[in-house]
Amino acid sequence: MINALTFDGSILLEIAILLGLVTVVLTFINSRKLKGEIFEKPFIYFALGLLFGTFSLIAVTFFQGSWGANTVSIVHDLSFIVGMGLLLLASMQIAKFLKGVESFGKNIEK
Amino acid sequence: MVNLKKELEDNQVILLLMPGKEYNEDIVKNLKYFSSSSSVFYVTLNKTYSALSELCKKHKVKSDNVVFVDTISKTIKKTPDQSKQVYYVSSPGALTEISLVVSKFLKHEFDYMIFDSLTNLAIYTKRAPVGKFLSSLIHKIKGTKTKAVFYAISSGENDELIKQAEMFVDKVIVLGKNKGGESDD
Repeated sequence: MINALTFDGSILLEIAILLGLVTVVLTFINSRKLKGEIFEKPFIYFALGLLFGTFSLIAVTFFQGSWGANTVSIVHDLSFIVGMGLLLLASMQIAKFLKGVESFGKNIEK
Repeated sequence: MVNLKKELEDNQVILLLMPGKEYNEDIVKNLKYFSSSSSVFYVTLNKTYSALSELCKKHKVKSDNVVFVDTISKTIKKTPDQSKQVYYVSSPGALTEISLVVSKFLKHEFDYMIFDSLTNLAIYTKRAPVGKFLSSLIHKIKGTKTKAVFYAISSGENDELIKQAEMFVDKVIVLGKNKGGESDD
């Protein structure tokens, strides 16, 4: 039986956590493949962002009993915010590179 | 002397195999030949932009019509992403980056693209990704009006890569010992 407040027993949440961890590992492996490239850092930020996002789920799923509701709530929210921030940073870096190439192309035409 | 412009009228993508000893002379001659009346973008995996522009000055090659993609400078010193006539890429092994930059540049309808050189590409990356990269790059070129010349050193060490490249290009020209000697496949 799933406890709506603690998420204990939620198989879907546990699957989400597992999927999150697998994605973190694969994204990190991909970042290693891009070593030395401009996309290495964004991929590391993607991996870290996903890790923080997944950790926010881990906190509410597994640490409700031991940490207490308030602590878990703070850890969950902070992890989620940091995770989203890192994903934003990664996407901004990729956009910056693409805009840079685009602007160089426009300058050539001038 | 091989008439590269004429060859490029009939074939959009050419692989130019040159002897290592005469490499510097050949790249200058070709650059002079192409840049005199056409727009060129030159992807260098071998020399820095400053070394190339120095070479151009020394041999009085007009490089106003040439835009460089320099993949070397960032590996040896802190370099901005771009300056007036040159775009800097992280390293010669940064295939994703090179591919994206070349794709963007191809949209600007340059007359010629020079890729210098496949031999250096092989030094920095494994053979399998290089093959995929070349195939994708050449298909992108064929979707545009830009004519391309890929350089490679005919040393024998990179035979497998050259064989792979031969499959993708329209024509292979071998610059022999006697200048102008041409051996077409």
